Amino acid sequence: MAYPPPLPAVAVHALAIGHGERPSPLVEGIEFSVAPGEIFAIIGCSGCGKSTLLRTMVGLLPLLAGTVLLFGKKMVTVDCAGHGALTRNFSVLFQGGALWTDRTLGENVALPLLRRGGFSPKEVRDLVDCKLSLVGLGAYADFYPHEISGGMARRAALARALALDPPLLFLDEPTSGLDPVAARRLDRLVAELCSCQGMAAVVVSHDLAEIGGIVTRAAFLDANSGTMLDIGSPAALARSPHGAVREFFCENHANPQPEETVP
Amino acid sequence: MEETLPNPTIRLAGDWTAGVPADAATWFFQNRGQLVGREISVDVGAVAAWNGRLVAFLLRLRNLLRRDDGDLSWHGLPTGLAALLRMAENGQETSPMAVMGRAAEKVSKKNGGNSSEAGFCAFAFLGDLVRCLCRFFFGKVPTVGAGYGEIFYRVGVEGLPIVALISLLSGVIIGFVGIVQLARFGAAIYIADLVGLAMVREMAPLMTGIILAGRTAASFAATIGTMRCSGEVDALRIFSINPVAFLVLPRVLAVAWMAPILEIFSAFIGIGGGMVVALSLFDFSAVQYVQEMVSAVAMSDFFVGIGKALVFGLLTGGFGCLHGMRCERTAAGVGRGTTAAVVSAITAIVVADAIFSVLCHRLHM
Repeated sequence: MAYPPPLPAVAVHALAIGHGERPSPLVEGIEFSVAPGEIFAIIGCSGCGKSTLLRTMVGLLPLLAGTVLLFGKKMVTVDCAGHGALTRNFSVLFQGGALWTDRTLGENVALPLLRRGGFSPKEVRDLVDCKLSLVGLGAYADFYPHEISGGMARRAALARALALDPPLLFLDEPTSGLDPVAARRLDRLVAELCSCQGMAAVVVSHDLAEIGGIVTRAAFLDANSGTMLDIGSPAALARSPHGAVREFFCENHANPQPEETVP
Repeated sequence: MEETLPNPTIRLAGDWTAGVPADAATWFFQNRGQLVGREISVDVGAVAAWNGRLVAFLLRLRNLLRRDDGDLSWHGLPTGLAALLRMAENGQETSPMAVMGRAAEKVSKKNGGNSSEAGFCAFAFLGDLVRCLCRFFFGKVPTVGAGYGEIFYRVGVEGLPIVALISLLSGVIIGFVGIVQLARFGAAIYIADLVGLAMVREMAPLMTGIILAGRTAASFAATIGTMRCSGEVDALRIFSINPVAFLVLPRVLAVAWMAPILEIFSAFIGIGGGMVVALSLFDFSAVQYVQEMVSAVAMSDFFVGIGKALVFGLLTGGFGCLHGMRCERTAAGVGRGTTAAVVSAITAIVVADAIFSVLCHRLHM
């Protein structure tokens, strides 16, 4: 018996993105798909529209043209009725974490579970402990976001994003502002979690040196041409026919991150 | 500085570290008409000292000339100045897409567009809030995790001291001003009627509303605005939690519920303040004062005051949350949103009070 091929976690077709009220798109003609379990990166220089693309894919910004399919279902913006059902399929790790600052880490992880419903209080407690332990913060459930470091806050936000076991995770500049050790630890954690849970991840980053080790493929957005210039594995992109892509890779590799010294 | 026609060369000299020297500024002002549309060369060789101000001056001059199809070239530049000018020129050249975006943004702002992606319009907010209120009364809004208790406590209990102080002073002021005038006609006892009616019908709801606008609406706008800035509102949306139901509804309900309670509290404190003035200045007994007040203030007056407080509370909560939800995602935007929340809430309260007065008069209440 032949099984049908699994639906791609994300399929983006002829997508044009921009800020809602501005008539001209920032980037157009974006085409890619991400398979379940794959770690895919969206890279490019600052201001090229990476975060805008991510916010469009999750429904926080309206798309100007094209389609975004998550596991075969068409994405709509957050103010549309169908968005609630779609959020069962994905979660987002926002730039900076965006933890709810008036709640402890435990409450941050618990809130999505409580609001989704179907979990007993004991299950919620266990899941909170489990998710925070997964990111190494099992002992910090009663801490508020302002009482922990930036790297810990990012890991706590990852735990919150994983609370409902989404099959797809979007990460917006997950390691920006972190020291190299904390950044690599977070990257490795994401890679391990994706590998363990079969979760797909779409990572937005401007620093290929940090995420290059975990991604399988990447798409390069270019602000000057307003297009997606190239797509492929990091090794293939390094040999891209486009000068802007090669230059980006050379600049990234010219400043390699120091080796991690803390286990 | 000297000029040679027909290909004018401007020679700059002296110290340019404090900006454009006064004589140079005068020269440019007097000769600006002759510079329009011409290709001018600047010789900087004789400049003794310079800093970023000279760079800015040269770039501005060139931009002005280019605007009228002229141009500016420079020579005799010190090495550092040449490099700075080159870097600044490169920085001025932006990508076509970025230029297009900026132009579109200008058009959008000219047309009254809001730079926030949500386009959070007041009518959409009102519609969403009314829908959430209806769903809440049918028990269809989950309240778990929304922190109702804490919000009610902050709005109500923490507001008691300031409401008490302002109401007491209002009662004292009305009592003092009124009793002096009434005593001239030998009608000092009627101060009980005056203070009672004024506090119950007007001052207590108005003072409570204004205190809530200054304290609570500002707090709501700042809290929600900051949450928008830090992406916490987006995080709620991603978990399929409606921000209006989760953030706005508890606040609006808290202030709508607490405002009448604070109003009743305020009325009693204000009446007490008036009584203290009356008893200290004239030889009334407390029983006489209370009997006179009870004969003048009807239950309908209490209900008018409570109704006003309920409406003022809804306005306060609504405007506070609206300006929090629609403020720009910047520190200044949160500040502007907070100011707008207080101003619009107080304005709305005063307008609503005027409407109440007309309605009560028409309805003989």
